[in-house]
Amino acid sequence: MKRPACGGPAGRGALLALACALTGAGCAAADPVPVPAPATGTRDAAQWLRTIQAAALHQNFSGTIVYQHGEDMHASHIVHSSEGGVVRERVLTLDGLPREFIRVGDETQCLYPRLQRVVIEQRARPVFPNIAEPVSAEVSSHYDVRRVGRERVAGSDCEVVELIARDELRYGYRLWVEPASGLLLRAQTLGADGAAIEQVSFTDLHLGEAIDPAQLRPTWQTAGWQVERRPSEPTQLQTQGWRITAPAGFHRLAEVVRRFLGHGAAPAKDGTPAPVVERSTLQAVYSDGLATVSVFIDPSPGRHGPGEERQRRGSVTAVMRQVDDATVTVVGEVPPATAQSIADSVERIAPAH
Amino acid sequence: MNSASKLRSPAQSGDPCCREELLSGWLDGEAHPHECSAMLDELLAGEALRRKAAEWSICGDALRSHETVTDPSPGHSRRVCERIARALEAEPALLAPSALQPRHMARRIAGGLAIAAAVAVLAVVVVPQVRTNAGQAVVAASGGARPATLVAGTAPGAARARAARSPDGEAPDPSLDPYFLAHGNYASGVMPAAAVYLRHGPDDR
Repeated sequence: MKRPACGGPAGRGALLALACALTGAGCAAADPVPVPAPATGTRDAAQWLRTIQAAALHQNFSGTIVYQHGEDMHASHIVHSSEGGVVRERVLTLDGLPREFIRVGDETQCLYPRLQRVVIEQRARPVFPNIAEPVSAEVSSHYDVRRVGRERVAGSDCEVVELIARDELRYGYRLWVEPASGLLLRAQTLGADGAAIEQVSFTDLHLGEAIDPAQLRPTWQTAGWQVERRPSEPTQLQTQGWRITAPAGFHRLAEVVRRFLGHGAAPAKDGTPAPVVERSTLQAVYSDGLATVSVFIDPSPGRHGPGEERQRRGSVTAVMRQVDDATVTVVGEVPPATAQSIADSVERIAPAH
Repeated sequence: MNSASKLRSPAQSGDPCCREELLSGWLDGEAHPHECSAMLDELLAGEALRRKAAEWSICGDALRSHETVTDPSPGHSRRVCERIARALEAEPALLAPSALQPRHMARRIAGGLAIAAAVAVLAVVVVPQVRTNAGQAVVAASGGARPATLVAGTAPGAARARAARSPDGEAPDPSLDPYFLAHGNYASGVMPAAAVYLRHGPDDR
């Protein structure tokens, strides 16, 4: 990991943050907004996560990030700056299809050069090494914290902590946190047996250095590309005639109507695919503070018939089933049994007015 | 791997070996900013170089941490261990110098013997340990972490990353992609924040 010389302002800030970490006192880090440094004393899950979140938002950094699940691995380059309270970020994929994600404040532009398409998202999703937003104190009631020791990641000594799930409804996590800055350098999702299911990690990191604005500019000129916005409208499931019972500890984050482009009906008998149309889908989102589950309700029969379908990608499970004339799809980073129980809980009710 | 002073712009070098040297420096964070930019251009233009960057990144990570991630599919650990073993076997043990001046010969032979002895010791001590670790595919994380079942990354040139597959070996159902994408918009937590690195996009098909 590259760091500025200790004699510079950023270096003094890092030393100050380290001193504060050792004494357990709160302090300001080198960058404009104070970053709480993790203390060496006891911290609960919410406190660790808030520290990680603050560091990811307010530090300048760039580096290579590798995501891995089994033999599936992807490398990306990230540049992140926080100047004057505005977060700017550029993530460029290094393998597979070229894609780029340019974030300025709360807006993210997703560049798909093969399609010459820009998808604009008004709600900036947190990108590793950032995590959830917001982190509620409730998360500490579902996970125990175990300090494991220290280990090097991307050339930096890290504090290793585990968030151990208190029940089988959720996965556990192992986190590598750089103690001076509070930045998360590696994370693993842990199965019930403690084995890692997937991980995402820095393999090289430049932390606390000034970011050249040129590093944050898009790689491609997007003039003439198709621009797509992904709007969503708030709604209430009950007024739409649906009820979902979430597992213990999961609370509702959002209920929205989304617009999807896709095949609106089953293929014709001769196999001809149905025409691509825009369709509305209900999405309800639940979270326990760390894991999130989305329930999608499509008011049309699925193309998979009346049976159920399951799929896993990393720690994310998808379960699809028919409820009356609608297709219910549950997607979330929870064990399959949890996703299944949520899918099974979806029921039609008389619409509330 | 390489010092920054040895690095040149990738465009200045059409030699694949030199390009790999530059890539190595870039992955080690030893490249100058203008070299980083040029290397990114090279990576965008060349799939083979991108693949190599990914392999080296994960390999370096695996070697540094002795830890990667479980794939529950049958035979996964064995396949990866075999790839690492093949890569180690393919590594040249010692490269012979091409043209030595006679008057330096004796000194270089002595030096070469010393290096060869050192390489032999390393070959006996290090390689079997690497193979043992990879073969066992289980390494305790340092500092008292729980033992994790591990799958090492690939050595340079040993193998390619495969397409994402579900644990039962089935290819992902692309009709679910919009749901994974839409979930990622609202997901919060540790791993959902890695969703952007998972490559679910409208250009998947």
